[in-house]
Amino acid sequence: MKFLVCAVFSILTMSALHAQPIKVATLSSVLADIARNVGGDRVEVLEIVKPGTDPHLFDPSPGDIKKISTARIVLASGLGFETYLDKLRSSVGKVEFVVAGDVVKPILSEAKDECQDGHHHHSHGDKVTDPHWWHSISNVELVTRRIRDAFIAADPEGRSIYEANYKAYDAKLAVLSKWVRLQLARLPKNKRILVTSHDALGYFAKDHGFEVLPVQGISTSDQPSSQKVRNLIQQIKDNQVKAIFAENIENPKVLQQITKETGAKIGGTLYADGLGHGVASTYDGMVRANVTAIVEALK
Amino acid sequence: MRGYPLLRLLVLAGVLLVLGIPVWSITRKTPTPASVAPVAREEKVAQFDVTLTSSAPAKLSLSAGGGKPILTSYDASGLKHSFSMNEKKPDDLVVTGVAMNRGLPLAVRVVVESNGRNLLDTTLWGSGSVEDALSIPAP
Repeated sequence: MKFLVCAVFSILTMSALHAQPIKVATLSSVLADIARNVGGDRVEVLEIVKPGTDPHLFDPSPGDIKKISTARIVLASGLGFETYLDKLRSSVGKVEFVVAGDVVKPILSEAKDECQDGHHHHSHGDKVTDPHWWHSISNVELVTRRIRDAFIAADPEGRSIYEANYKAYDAKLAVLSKWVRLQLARLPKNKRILVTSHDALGYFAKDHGFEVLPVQGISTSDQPSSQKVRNLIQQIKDNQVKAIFAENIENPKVLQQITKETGAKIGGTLYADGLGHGVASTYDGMVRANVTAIVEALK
Repeated sequence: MRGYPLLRLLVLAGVLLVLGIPVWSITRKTPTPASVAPVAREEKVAQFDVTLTSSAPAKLSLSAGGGKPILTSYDASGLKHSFSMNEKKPDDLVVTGVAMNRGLPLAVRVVVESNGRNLLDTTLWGSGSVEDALSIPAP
């Protein structure tokens, strides 16, 4: 009888443990979406940087740090995107940090004009590391695999679920990647020039043969000099660029001024620094929204 | 002078005229110099030879440069075609194949060469049909 009671008690305890999802704090809305897809019901995502927030200007509040401290895993972009990351690591104690930038192949971007956020960016001479890795779907594939491994390490009993979820999400990314290729094939190479608010689409440009002409530097806090704006206007005229793009978390005033002088139109809003709302509330939706806006405006 | 209003008027008109000439010359609308029309950049083109080989009879088609169709061939197991594109930035090629028997798996091998140099050799796989956009490196 005692044995039976013990067995029932153990089973109940085990099920209670299973019911407890692992807490995962995310410092990027893209990472939150990947975590939900790979983790399913076995993880509880604590979204610290929410869609529509400018992550370049985000600094965690004491409340955020308290929340992160309760997590088992923190997912960060790295590559200098979260300039507060070192400070955060030392503030939250024994939480495992999974940094996307550790598994992707970073690219370099032109150095900023003048960064006003007091943040540092990883610089290499007059170039800085571009932290917007998620604009390359192949990077997202690598990061998804890394997140699967981190979840399995933290919760080995959920291995089969994480592996199945990963497989399904990876297949979804492959479909997305093909869709992007087919959409962009409608744009001849000489029309692949992206004029954007800030230099966030370098990975996308590298994958698909675009030239990026950003108004600002790698961060939204980089301010363009008037000389840079003049040069940009000339480049837009020289290349007969049909459209320039605003961003979901940007003030498009400077862009509107440039459109006045060049005759180019505002080609739509791009989701550069993370997910948005509505159709762009998932990674898949964000990529489709960006590519559709680009093709429709430039074709 | 005090007694000659007409003369005063003439002098004032003369002064205004003298002052007005430079103002007019600065503010007049000058026809903008015909903006140097974007110099038609000399576009170097290269010839690209594409060979499609299908594992089963299929409707094969090829397009490039923003969806411009290059070639469509019905009920073929392969086709060859040569065409010109920008040498430095060749456009992406879109290859589609629809098997005559849509129940069968289909594989289409795509080989792109320029001046005898192999630029691309890849195979598209699908069930009954294939479709993909392929980037071609500059020769």
